[in-house]
Amino acid sequence: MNKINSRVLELTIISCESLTLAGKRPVKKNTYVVIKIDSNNDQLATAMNTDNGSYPSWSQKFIVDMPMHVTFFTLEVRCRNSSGDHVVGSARVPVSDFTRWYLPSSYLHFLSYRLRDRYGDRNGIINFSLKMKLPDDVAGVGASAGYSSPAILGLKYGGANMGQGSSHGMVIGVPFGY
Amino acid sequence: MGGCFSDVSGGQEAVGGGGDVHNLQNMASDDAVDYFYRSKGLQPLYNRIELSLSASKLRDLDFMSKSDPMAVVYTKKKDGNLEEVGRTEVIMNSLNPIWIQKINVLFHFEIVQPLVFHVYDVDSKYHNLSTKMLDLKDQDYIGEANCVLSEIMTFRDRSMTLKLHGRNGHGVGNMGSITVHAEEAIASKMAVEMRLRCKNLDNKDRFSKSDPFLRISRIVEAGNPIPICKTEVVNDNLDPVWKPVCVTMQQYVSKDNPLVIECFDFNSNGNHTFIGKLHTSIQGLENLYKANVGENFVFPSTHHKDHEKVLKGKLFVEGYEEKELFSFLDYISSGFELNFMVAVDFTASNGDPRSPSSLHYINYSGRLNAYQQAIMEVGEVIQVYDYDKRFPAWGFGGRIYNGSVSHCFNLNGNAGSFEVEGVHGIMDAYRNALHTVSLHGPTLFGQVINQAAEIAAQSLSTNSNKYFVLLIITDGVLTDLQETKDALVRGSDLPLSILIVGVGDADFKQMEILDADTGPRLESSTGRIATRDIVQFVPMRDVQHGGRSMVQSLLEELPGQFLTYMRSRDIKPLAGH
Repeated sequence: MNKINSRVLELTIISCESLTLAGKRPVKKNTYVVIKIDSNNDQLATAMNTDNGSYPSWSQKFIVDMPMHVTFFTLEVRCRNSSGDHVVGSARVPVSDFTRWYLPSSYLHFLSYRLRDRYGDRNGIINFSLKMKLPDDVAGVGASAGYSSPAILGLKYGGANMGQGSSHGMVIGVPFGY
Repeated sequence: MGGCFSDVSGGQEAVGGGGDVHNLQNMASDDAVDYFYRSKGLQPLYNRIELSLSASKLRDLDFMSKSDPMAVVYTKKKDGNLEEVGRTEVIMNSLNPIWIQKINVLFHFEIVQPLVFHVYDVDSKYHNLSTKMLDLKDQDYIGEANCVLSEIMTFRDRSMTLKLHGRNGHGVGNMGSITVHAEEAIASKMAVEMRLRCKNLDNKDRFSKSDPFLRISRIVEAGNPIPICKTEVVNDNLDPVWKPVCVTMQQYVSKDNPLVIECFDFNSNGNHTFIGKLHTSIQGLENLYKANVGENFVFPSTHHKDHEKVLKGKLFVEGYEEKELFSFLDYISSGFELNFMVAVDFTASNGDPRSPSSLHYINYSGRLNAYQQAIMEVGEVIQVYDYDKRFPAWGFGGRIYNGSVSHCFNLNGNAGSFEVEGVHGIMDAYRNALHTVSLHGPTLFGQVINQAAEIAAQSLSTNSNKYFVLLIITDGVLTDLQETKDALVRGSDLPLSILIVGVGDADFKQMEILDADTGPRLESSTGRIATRDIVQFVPMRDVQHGGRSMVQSLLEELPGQFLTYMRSRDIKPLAGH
């Protein structure tokens, strides 16, 4: 494993807010989020959210290996309906946004970004949390999962975990002042 | 945050159970105010009372539909002036509203406390605003009523129905009535969070499916059930799943207290179609969750009083979790600390400090200028929570001794250290700085906020039980609105709050934008968005003229901001205290 030249992140995709499709109709269902670190690599994706329409939530956790040379990663929100699979919007997350301060490595960041559709227009918000993993934890995870040396490890925990889903969604997902 | 109850998106928002941000907000700020008084050796002598309001047969003021009523509660002070205590949410299209939002009042046994209730029809163009922000002058007045708090407390069912009348007691004909129910608030930290869903609900809409929402009410011994929360509306769905609702023990009283859950089909005209109801309790809901079964809704028979038709629609409890909600006070008394930092505006718009009209004019006869007043009043309140009472203090927008303009210089003039000792230390440093620094401009907040964020971030590596509060005292208009937003968005991820006190008579519209109580979350130039509100703006003139105390104004949002940070990271009060 290439520990020195990469960082390992624990990334939890929490939820999205006010997603619309072309024509500003609210998204009805079947949304998921794709995590793109490096265009060459396999992509990670959340489960399909079938219920919450234009305010989907997942609270799904991923372990992501991120090479040191990477300066940003992309989160792409997609929606599948009868006419196909569409990109609803995407957000570029600069790595410097969570490495800027001299914070303890295990600090839990809560981050939100504006999503923009392919024309560059604003289309909703994505909320997620992120934490650097210590190298020891990672070795353990890698070994037990039986991966040889994957560029990206994807770990999926039951997304419907009540405690987690709600405590995160509750604090972050409620826009201030509602 | 706080005051979140205008019926956003046409009355489809959840009230009372949406993570109870608002209730905690009230409780948290009460806690903080209590703590302040107790630290001064004053013992508060009162009980917390919760008022539930409903009204019937209100006048209809809307042409095409019915009124959209909201109630405002005031206490009448000795001099006859009214002081606002709280507002309910707006209920759409209803002449017989039952408000869910409770109003908290303090019941002092020894004082006669006259209460005044005003009912307004809120114009639909204001429905997306927080009720706290509504200017009552813009709303249509429906009527008012008054009584004395202890009067309500003496009734066996603690309820009183009052006839509404016009201003100054005038009124024509029947203007409707308002019913006030009072209950002692329970001090408990327990709360239950549940995720509810339904299956096979009856379809009540002709051309589409029902738009269901749930209303949970607590049954009381005497009188009508008291609604404690309602879910948001799920459109066009007979198998809806709602966002988690969190009900506190203040709301449900005990796990065995009977509850009634009613399901309605939302109609924008306010005449929601009743789908079905079921009787249960928190215990009952827990049992449903554990057994993983649904319970059928029933529909009361129109012919026989005791007969109920069992519907095929069922309620399921997807998630159930009991948790302890720690209060602001739990954190503070277990050893968490607030650390204060101050930044003072040295821009030229304050006026030449030698002129008596300047906001910075030092009057040696002892009268404090606006900045000194702000430092003293705010300092007195906040130093209670800061153990070492050493405050970083900066100035911005001034030309310093070496001739350059600085947007973050040490107030004490000492290049090596920005800390000063106590509130008097800030006062001394401020007076001295007026001699050495000349007022300049423009007004930039970005650098002081970044400096404060840096300190907050650094502290995390050694100590995670500190929370930082930057107090910015300013006379006005920002030049770097976007840069300030960028700094605030970054700061929202750190243990940091920013209190802006506005002095003088400038237009403080921009500050209201930064204090994202309502409206959109702050967005940085790179598309990053604030994850929580960290700004509170207090105009000094409102505190001076409005009768609200500085303590209350300042501690209104801070405890809530603190709690949001701690809870989202699952940080608990320190053990062993």
